[in-house]
Amino acid sequence: MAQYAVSAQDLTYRYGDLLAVDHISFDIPEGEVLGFLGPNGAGKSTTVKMLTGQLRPASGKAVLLGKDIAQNTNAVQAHIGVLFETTNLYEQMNAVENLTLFAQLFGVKNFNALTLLEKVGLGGREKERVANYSKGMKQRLMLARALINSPRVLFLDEPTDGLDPVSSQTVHALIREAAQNGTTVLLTTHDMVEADKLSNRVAFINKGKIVVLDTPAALKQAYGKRALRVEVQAANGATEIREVTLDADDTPQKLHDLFQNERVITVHSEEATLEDIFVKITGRGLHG
Amino acid sequence: MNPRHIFVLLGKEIRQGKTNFFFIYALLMPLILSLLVALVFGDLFSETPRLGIYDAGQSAITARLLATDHLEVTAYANEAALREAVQRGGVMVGVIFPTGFDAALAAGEQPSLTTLYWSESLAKDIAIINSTLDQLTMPTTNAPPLITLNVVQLGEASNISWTERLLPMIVLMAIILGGVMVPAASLVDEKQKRTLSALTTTPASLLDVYAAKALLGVGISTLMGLVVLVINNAFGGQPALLVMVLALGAVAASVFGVLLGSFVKDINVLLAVIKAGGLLLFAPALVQLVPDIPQWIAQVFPTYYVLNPVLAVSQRNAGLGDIAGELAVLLALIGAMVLILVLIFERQQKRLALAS
Repeated sequence: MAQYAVSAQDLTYRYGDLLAVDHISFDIPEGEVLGFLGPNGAGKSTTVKMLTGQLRPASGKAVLLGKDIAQNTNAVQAHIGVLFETTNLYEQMNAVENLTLFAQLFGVKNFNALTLLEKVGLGGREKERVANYSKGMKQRLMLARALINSPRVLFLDEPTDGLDPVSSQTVHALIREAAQNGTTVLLTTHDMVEADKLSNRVAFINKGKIVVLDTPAALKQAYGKRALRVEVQAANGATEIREVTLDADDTPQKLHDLFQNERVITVHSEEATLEDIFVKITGRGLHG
Repeated sequence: MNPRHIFVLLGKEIRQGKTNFFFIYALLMPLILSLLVALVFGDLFSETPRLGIYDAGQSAITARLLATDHLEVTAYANEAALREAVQRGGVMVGVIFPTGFDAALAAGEQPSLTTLYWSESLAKDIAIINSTLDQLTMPTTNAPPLITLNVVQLGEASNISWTERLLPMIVLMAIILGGVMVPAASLVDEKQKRTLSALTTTPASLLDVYAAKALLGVGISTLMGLVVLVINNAFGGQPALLVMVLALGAVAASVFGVLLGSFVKDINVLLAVIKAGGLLLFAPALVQLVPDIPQWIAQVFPTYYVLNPVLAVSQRNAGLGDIAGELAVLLALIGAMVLILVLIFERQQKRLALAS
């Protein structure tokens, strides 16, 4: 059994003179969900393409399940699932035909398309041509396709981009279930809330380099403010905000005074979001 | 390459065919053209040779000719009507029985019969008609001819029928549409719809995809080539050799189709390339369409080595030795295209990954 399901070792890729991926290294243990976050052009997709065997690295190597994917592309691909950002289904076929084709290519025995379609919420729509599906249905079908071979490593590129909340929740539940069953997930997303919810750890990639890699909680602790945001109602009826720093000597007294002397409406911890942390670290937004 | 993957992908191509315009076009177009040519130039529904008669003197042979079932015989009221029918190809041969023909025959005078030939009549039909006339006018099999034939050819003085001239075009069209267009269009379509990226993240490789598409092209191309030859009564007497040369031509066309599909970005560009390059692809057939221009010009074009062995075997009864040189050139062309495909393969994989 490999120590890490995914191991990027000094991965580098160039587009002409542009260093798109700059000597990236990271490891993902089995069963972990790693959120891979960064703005457009940061090098996320190029890294994923090297990890899935679509691109050969200029230097370094991508080791999946103990094997260098560049040397064992087809053997490793048999154990991975890839969900692409852009829809790439056979739209003139129905869902069963789409899934059966890929099951045959993966050599899945006793494949039951209907069970998988039920799981992604497409039961009863299996005979319809995919061209007639909504974006959410197509995305769920692509996820079903990515899960067809019960992959040990799942690469998900913007799995809920443009989906309605219900479809997003279905996709989230499926990702969680896969991870619980031991599948390693590399989740590429712009959606910080999604990454926060699903990831065991997150990696921020900027200008081809990983600038930070840690658990969301640790990042928030390291980069967030340790403070409370208290909403109070002033004597004139207006709402006012008070901020209480948590680590000061007089914090207990301040809090006591607030509750004693004012009408407290809400109390929130001043926790930084992943997006705040990303901006703080890189000086640029995720959508830039 | 993995044969199982190739056959799975080939199955997918065939199943998808019913919704693929190019697939249907490649199957129907050669058939429609064959039927159209046969209909217009007259030898589709004419398994029975057509004979026209003008009998100026009520010969008993006319009645016997009208009674034969292996000829389609039409009696004309006057010589002008018969000539006009022969001139336009309504009948292949016209026979004018002069007044007193039977009496002259009976008297052993060896009377003369004027026979009019449509210039584009098939040799086999003329032979059948002549032999029927001989049988009807000869008392015994070994007897010397009792009539003198006065032969007149009507129509343009060309001994190559339009059906024969158009056959190379139809055969080449069957090979090119199935072999080049179908794999190229299928590959381009998969690139445009990004399904190719999805396939190449499975254990199937890009080479498996190429092989499946090439096999589809070879299958359609060979099948349609054979069907077209059968419809045009041009199958010849060497089916095994014919299938072999046709399949080899189909392989060349399909490898070219895959090569074309791997270079071209989208369907519009592919159609533009086919339109622009179509003249070069069909040039050997166009040269044969015009017998007055030097036929060696056709040899300059690569598709000549796809087309000519097929025509040589089916039309001129050539043996393997007769076409060995052309087949060697064809094999060299296939080898060169496969080499190019191998050389550009890694670049294609990279382009595909970057486009996904």
